[in-house]
Amino acid sequence: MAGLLKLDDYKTATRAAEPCDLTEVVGRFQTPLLRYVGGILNRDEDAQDVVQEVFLCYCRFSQRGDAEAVRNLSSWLFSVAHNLSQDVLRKRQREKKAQTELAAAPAPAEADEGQAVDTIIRQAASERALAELRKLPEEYRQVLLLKIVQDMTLREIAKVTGLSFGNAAYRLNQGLKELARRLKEAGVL
Amino acid sequence: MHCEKAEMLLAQMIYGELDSAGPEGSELAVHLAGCRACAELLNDMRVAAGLVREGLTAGTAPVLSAERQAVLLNKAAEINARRPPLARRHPGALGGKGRIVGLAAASAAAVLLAGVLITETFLCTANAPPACHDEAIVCFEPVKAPMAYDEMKRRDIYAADSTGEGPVFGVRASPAPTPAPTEPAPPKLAYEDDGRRGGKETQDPAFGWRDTGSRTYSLPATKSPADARGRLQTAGSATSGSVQSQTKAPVAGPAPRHEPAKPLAGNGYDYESSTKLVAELRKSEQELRERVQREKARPGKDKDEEAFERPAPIVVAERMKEAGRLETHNDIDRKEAARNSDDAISDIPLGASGTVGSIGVGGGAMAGRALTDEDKKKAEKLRERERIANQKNEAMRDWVTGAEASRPTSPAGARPNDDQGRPRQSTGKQSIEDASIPYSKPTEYQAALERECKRLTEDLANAEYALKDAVSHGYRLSPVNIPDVRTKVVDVRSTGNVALGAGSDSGIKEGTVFLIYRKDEYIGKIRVTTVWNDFAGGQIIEQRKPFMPDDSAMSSRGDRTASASPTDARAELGPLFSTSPHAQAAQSLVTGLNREDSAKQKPPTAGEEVVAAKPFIVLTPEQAQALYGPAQQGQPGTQGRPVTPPPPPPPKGDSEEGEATLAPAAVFKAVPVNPFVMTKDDRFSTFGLDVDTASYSISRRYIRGGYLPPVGAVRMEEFVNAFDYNYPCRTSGTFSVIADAAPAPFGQDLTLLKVGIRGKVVGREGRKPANLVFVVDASGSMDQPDRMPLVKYALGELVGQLGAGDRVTLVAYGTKARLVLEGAPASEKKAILDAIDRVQCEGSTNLSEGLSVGYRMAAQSFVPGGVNRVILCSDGAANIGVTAGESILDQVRTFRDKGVTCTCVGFGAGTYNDVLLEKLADSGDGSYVFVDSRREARRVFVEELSATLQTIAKDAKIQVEFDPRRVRRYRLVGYENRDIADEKFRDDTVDAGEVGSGQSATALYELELQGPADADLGTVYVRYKNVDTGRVEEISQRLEARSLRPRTPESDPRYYLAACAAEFAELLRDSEHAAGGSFDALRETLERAAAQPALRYDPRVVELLELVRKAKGLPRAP
Repeated sequence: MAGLLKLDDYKTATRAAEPCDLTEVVGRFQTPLLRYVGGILNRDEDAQDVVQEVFLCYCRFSQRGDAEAVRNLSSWLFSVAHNLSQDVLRKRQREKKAQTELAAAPAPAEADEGQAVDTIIRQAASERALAELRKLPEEYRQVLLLKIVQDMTLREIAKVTGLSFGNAAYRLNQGLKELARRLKEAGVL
Repeated sequence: MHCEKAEMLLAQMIYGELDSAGPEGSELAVHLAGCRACAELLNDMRVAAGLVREGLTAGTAPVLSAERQAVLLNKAAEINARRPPLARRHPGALGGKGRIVGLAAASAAAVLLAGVLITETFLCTANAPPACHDEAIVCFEPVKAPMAYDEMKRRDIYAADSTGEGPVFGVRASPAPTPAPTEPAPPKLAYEDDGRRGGKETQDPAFGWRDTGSRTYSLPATKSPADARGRLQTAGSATSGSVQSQTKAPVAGPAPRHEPAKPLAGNGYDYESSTKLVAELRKSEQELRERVQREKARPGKDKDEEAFERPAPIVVAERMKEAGRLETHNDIDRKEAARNSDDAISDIPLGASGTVGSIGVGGGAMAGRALTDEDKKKAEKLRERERIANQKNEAMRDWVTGAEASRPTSPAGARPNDDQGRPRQSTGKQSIEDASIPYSKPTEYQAALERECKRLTEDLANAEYALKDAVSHGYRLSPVNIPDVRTKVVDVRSTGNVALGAGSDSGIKEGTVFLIYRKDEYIGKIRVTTVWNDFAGGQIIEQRKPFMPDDSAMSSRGDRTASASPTDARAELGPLFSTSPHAQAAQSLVTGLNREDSAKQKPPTAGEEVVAAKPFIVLTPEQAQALYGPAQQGQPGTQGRPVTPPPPPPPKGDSEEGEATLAPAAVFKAVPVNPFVMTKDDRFSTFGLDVDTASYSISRRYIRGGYLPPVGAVRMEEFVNAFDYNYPCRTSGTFSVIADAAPAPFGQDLTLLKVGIRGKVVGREGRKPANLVFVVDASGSMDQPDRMPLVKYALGELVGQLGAGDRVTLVAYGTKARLVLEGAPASEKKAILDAIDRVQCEGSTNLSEGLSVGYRMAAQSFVPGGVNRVILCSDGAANIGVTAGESILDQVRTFRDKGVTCTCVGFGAGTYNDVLLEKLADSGDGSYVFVDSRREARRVFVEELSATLQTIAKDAKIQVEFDPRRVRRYRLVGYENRDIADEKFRDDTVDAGEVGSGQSATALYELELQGPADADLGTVYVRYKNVDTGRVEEISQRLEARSLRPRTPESDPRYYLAACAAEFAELLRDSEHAAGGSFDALRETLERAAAQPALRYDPRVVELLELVRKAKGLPRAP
């Protein structure tokens, strides 16, 4: 890259306000964020609210010129998303609203003999696994989701959730173990 | 360590976060080896994690709702008020069809919302992780002056579910909107068409740029608002994700999940189906044309009524038929056919939404076909959709053309009055008779026909282009390829800098050369120097005419000079996996030229494995004509299409290639299958251990490409070894031996003995410091999507796995070898990755020089007691320098004795030289793997890195002694080229197989038994050199009588898996021992075994099953 480019004019033209490039940030992160928050809150509208708010937060941040502080964008966004979804959960609890648990997922469809091992089974299994994940206790779920959706390291997860490293590791382990146990009970494993 | 503590570490282990150097890691490994419960739990957790991941990424990716996006857009615009507009790219929903529809944002005055971009998720390759396919790209049209959210609200944009088909983003119809007088023309084409087709918008000139990734092109300002309206529709439905609901294929089905998004041009993957498609398209296009002509000739007065009474238009019938035929025609690639049929089905009724579609159904009914309920429902649905679409479009137009207040009231009759007085919401109860209400739009039918015609023409042209491409680049036919990047020139500066409308996501890398065309004329060349998210900036290398914005740019593989005239056109011919006329033409051209060449060269001597040929040929005009067809002769399909680039430009520097002495065709060598041996003649069976799996990967590649692998490519033992038989691993001894026997699943009156040998596991922490020298083939032949990019990816992955004590050297070779990076500590990951990225492909293949330099470097930075290894990444073709296999091998052997081993990683197919690479790895005491996908790269370099790098035993040999009283005769399945003379078993100078940490090898014997049932079968001896101690050790194990018992796929799935893998290999190589077998019988057995919980979630088993199903009836690769 270096040396060859004399395209600074483009750069200034296109990248003047690089960090506030919201559209791009939205594009990159909306799906993982929605998956994460959706997994935490189990309700789509709430997730949409939260994620929108996350991006607006990001806007405000970058407007204030703090964007430089947002070093690790992914961590930052997920931290905000985490905090906001915790707020929502707390609010729900205050309102004594029963959390909308997803209806128990239908048992994995019995396989046609001809396609016993085919992707259909696997898909049913993965759907079941997802349903089980949604039923896990929240503290396990957040850690698992961060790991799976965004592939964060435990250290990042600890940072995002505000847990200690050991605690995050513990939760990840327990969550996964519990998940495996439930799946086994359900006959998926 | 006890179980409780171990359990706390399992998740970290699964996610590779366990501190490999720490004591915990090693303790855990020890514990796991001994504790069954924990090992099982680990496995369960791993599977659960995988399942959840799949569950999460399955289906459509969630995106923010349209309203929320609008808010954010607005916000972004506020912030970036002074910034010029930029195209943006978004991962979004809509994975299902692989078509992407963009959301248009607003411009200030007249055209508020304009421009939809249809692109293809071409970035997704067949082997990319499934998650990738779920991501679509939504483009944002330049945000010039986005409408305030309030304004949008005021104008009543809403996301409502008015059809019961999911939310639709649109505008509420106001009661009596009228067109503004300034509007250019009443909509000639039914504008809902675009949207309804769910992204199949072929009228848009941008569509021709099917490979541009997500480039956005703003529409010319003169574009009529009608278009804009249609687009808005698209935008709405796309954003709200209702496109899926409009297409016939249920997105939830399993098919779209792993289905790579393929552009229409991508039909070129499968040559036959593309040919078929083109033929079908041509036919229906012809008929359409005739129809249009007829229609035009009719008196215009009551055209629409008549139109209604016509029999079902041929369009529908034809397309349906085509879909059906494709499906039956090509059950090899059923998925693709299904996709085509989806296209066909969803295109027609939706595409013409109420024009062609409803006429089709209604007309069909009148043509005498009995009306079924389904028909009625269909008709109703179509009419309703049409009505809703009309309402929306009316409203949309009002909204687009301006506020109600500014609009002069004009007679309501001036606009199509479909909606007048009709209920706006569901009219689903209407009967089919309602459908006969005459159309009020006078030229609707004709317009629909014309549109259909146009679309077919486009499809045709695209398909034809794909075909030509497929012929000129044989690799097109293989599924892992990504198409060329095609984009446009966006801006040209006086400094000689040119901006292309392409960004980092498009796969454009710095250094990519783009050829610039205006129409079909080549006008110059640009090398990309910078890639931003939205632009690629480049410098002019060659310029025949001044570049202009909107000139088309097409990425070229390597730096080649384009030819302006087709007369001196040259073509690069890869291996042509086809027997079609085109391919034959091309092939005959090659052979013709080869004959010329070989006249100049000395005739090949006997025993030479290679055939002389030049990879590049020059076409005469006639040949070009023969190959490319009458493209230049004003074929209907090519007219009006943006660009049909001329045949691929000739490669530079083919003079070097002129000295080529290796064949472009793949080199495999078939060894005869082992015969049965009478035990009384020879009771010893001796062979070197082989844990490689390359043969399986190579065969997989062939089968997925639609061909059986060449016989020589199938090594049965590598098939068997490709699977995990879950042998227990010992921590004490270096090897454990496990034997099972049962009546042979596929042979009559035979017994199948399975002897498994598993090496001990050395964890990451136990790995010695490594001195790795990568010798990367950077010749021209590697410059294909399934080669160099994969190499770079694989090396990147590997570097990520290395520890601080490891050192990395990088040597690249083309015509000359060059040292790219010398002895960098693995901790300097950035520097290493940058160096890897710098490697450019060019020139010929000087393997010998590359290896020499590599070995020199390895010797220079030799780590005593560590892993000293040269890792050769190549497609195997060596064509200059020392090409004779033996002298290269000698060098490898010399260095092996000095302690530098050689691992070969094969890439790509076609010019692939399997023989050379296997021999190199074999002589170099290293492993030989074949990487055909990112997943495979990860498996080799990440998941099994220890196994790949950490050798635990060298020169491992196996000798099985059968008891002649019990075993009458035996046959070893596979290991043909690993045969060792019986008396050499205890000769420790004989080179045999190397085994990495935790690797296992499985040998299968077919036995004919006799005598007493309680007698032992014999004894297995394993002799090897322990790498740690340097001593030669030998272990033995009796083949006890009790290991023989009846087994079923249900009771012993893994035993049956091994049998199936071997049978599959035998079938693939046409072994005489598989004479009675068939793919069907194999499939049945394998399905039973694979249904067992032990194998159900093993992706490799699922994959094997897929291959077995696919392999049936495939032709043998040429």
